[in-house]
Amino acid sequence: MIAEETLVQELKSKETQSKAFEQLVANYKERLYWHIRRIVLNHDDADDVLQNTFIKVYRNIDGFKGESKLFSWMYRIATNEALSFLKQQRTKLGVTDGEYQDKMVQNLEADVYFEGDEIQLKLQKAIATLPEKQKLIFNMKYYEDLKYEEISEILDTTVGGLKASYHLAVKKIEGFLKDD
Amino acid sequence: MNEKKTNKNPFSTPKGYFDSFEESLRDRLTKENSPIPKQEGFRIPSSYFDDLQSRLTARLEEEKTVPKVIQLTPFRKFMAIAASIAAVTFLALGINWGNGEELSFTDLANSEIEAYFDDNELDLSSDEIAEVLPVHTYEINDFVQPQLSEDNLLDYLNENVEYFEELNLENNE
Repeated sequence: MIAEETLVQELKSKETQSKAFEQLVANYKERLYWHIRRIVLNHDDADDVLQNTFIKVYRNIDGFKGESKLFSWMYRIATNEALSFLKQQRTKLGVTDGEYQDKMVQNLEADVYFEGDEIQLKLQKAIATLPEKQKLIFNMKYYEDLKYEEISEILDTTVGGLKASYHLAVKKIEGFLKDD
Repeated sequence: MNEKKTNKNPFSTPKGYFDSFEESLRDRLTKENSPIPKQEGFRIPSSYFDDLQSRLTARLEEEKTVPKVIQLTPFRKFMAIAASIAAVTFLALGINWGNGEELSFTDLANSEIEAYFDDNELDLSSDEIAEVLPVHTYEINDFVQPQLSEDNLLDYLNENVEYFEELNLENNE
């Protein structure tokens, strides 16, 4: 893997840009896809948002000053794109956040790209009950195995706050799964 | 054998590895004992990631070839200027409008004042009320010796005092 700084330099140069972009996509496509998929749940939506994310990174790479890691910057763009997408959908349908979350989980039952069993479906219902930020933190820590320091840079939240939110989210989800 | 023995450890660890070791271990143990499923059940179409690069490249190429639409008349710019002028004119008119006839407290109808007090929770303390009351128009006796008519007083006592006879009113007339 090319060092991050070199990759950024190559992305900013017209001569090396397209080759570097291919490298960037190869390096991050899977991680970013799963991050987005956990927010929007549906594959086609995740694909749209992932493409928008990469296009945005490509167009705005000159604005990347290296104050954070390239990885954190891309994660931040992906998170914002995914959340904006959900907001647009909610506005289009004229429903509240809670109603839209319920609808997203209901749609999973008929989704050909979801093959979860009863407990996995219940997990999604549990995650849907969490506040937006807690949901992001839970997914990033539990399923994406990111370090608190990395999440802190992406979400611009203190490590202490993240730890508290994560443990609270785990307790809520465990409680939801045990209740029946 | 001329090999030199050295105590220097040739291995290294990532920065901060030992600082976060306990926390990582605790998180892992929490995960292993948790009822939360390790897999979420999401699936993707086969070869999805293989095709992504070519689809992205095609989209970028398409954006390059499609020329940007440039408005011949910068309509929005004119709209903004017109809106600014209208706002300034409106404000200037608004400031000068009421200069001819000044409104005073006496112009307000009592019913409007009462409605205002009913609709707004003013939450004034007794000190605050005392500050605004025009004290010079009241006598101290207005509060200490209320001027009640005898009939009203008797009616009140009759309604509210249980043993009316015990008051011995005759002796104190």
